[in-house]
Amino acid sequence: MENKPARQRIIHTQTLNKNRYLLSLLDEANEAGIISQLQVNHLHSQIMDILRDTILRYNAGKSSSIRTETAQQLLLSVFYCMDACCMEYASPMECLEQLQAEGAAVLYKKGLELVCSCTDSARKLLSEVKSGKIITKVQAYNDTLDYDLPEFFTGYSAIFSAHEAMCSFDYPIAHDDQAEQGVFYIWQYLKKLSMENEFCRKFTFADIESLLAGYGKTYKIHYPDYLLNIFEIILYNSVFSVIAGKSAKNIGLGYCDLQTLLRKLTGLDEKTHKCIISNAMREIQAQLNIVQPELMDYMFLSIVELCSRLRICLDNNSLDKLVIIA
Amino acid sequence: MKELTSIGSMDAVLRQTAINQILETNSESMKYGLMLTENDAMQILDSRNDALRGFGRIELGADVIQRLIFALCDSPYIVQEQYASVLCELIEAFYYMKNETLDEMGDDELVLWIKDSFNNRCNGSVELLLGGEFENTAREIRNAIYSRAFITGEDVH
Repeated sequence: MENKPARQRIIHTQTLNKNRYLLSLLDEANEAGIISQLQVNHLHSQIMDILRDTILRYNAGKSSSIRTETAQQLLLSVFYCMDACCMEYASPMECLEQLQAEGAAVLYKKGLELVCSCTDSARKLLSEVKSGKIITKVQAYNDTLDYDLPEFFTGYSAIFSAHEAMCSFDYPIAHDDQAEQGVFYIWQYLKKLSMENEFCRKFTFADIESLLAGYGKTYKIHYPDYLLNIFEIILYNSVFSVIAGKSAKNIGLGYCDLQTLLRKLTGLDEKTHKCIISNAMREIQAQLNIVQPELMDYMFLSIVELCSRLRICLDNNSLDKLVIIA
Repeated sequence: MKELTSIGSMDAVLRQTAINQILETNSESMKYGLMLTENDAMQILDSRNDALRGFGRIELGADVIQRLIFALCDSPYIVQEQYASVLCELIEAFYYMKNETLDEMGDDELVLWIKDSFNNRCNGSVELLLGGEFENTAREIRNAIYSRAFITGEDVH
């Protein structure tokens, strides 16, 4: 008789869907025979009790029924909080053990606390980001910080709509993680915007506006109305400035610099381009005295795309689209 | 498990609890000569679920059914032979009214309104209840909501 391999009885985080963590964990655990269908049903029942309480709270205790679409949203909110707690455990197996030992209601309560705590942190972070905002004419940037993000906090409810990021803010950050949802999305957005601001504050208002005006001229747009990322435009020009032999702060490049860059960068292979850009980045960090590891990582993350864009522009003889002439 | 976010998938888990909740009402209704069998409870629950689906609503448990039974089991217009079927009609009327009044009336308030109308103004006729009596009340409530929304600028939906 053929020996079948023993079923895998460990669940790895990578196999789970981050945006439906608990559900995928229970699916995997059930399929792997770690928890029985009876236990799954019991957990279902506990989750439905949480939903029932949430419906009552939503209706201020006056009504036990609710429109289907609202109930779906409330359930997503419950799962969002539970997922927040579940993902805090060191491993999916530990999460399962706690879920069975403490019950769904306890995990929901802990998750709700985490979401509330993140909301408080994000609110404080917004206040910091606003006080450190750069002066610019870019409308999307100003509107996002002055109106759209504050509006999020007035409408957000960790109990009824934890999974939603219920505001529309337009300003694009360099590395948005759109896989995140709810307040955790807002938090990562603000964290990154805070780093971008910190970098941009190393440059003067006049230099930034002159660079953005050059960007507008290059792409024939009225830049204050355009959805552009200020940080990335500054960073790229700072990189090219250093490569051209100027200082990191000197982002106002001219046609002479463009010719220098063409001379220095044409005909090189990809690896050499990467080395040049990477060295320039280190030089920028040294010159601008950037020592915060998170910002340093974020800057490097932001130039990953620069190398391929540089090669395309060199091939198409359009480096002037990437190097902005102020 | 795959579609827990579709709340309907929980019916099997909640069904027995809801049936037990309905049967619990017998202790009160029997004082008035009314009783539901397990089959009646299942029929009422199915009818309630159809009504919820039809009106695009969700309810976990059988709270509304219990409240309606406790409020109406002493009605002089309900007899044992029609007890289950009248309950089904009243339950459907309840959720219809919920939607038509834009959820403005709470469960208790709506149950009391149904009891009062059914016993005192409609002579135990669900048809009359759902006719003029109900339509007029629903219209008044909606008008109040719309005018409030108009004044405050709030979103009705």
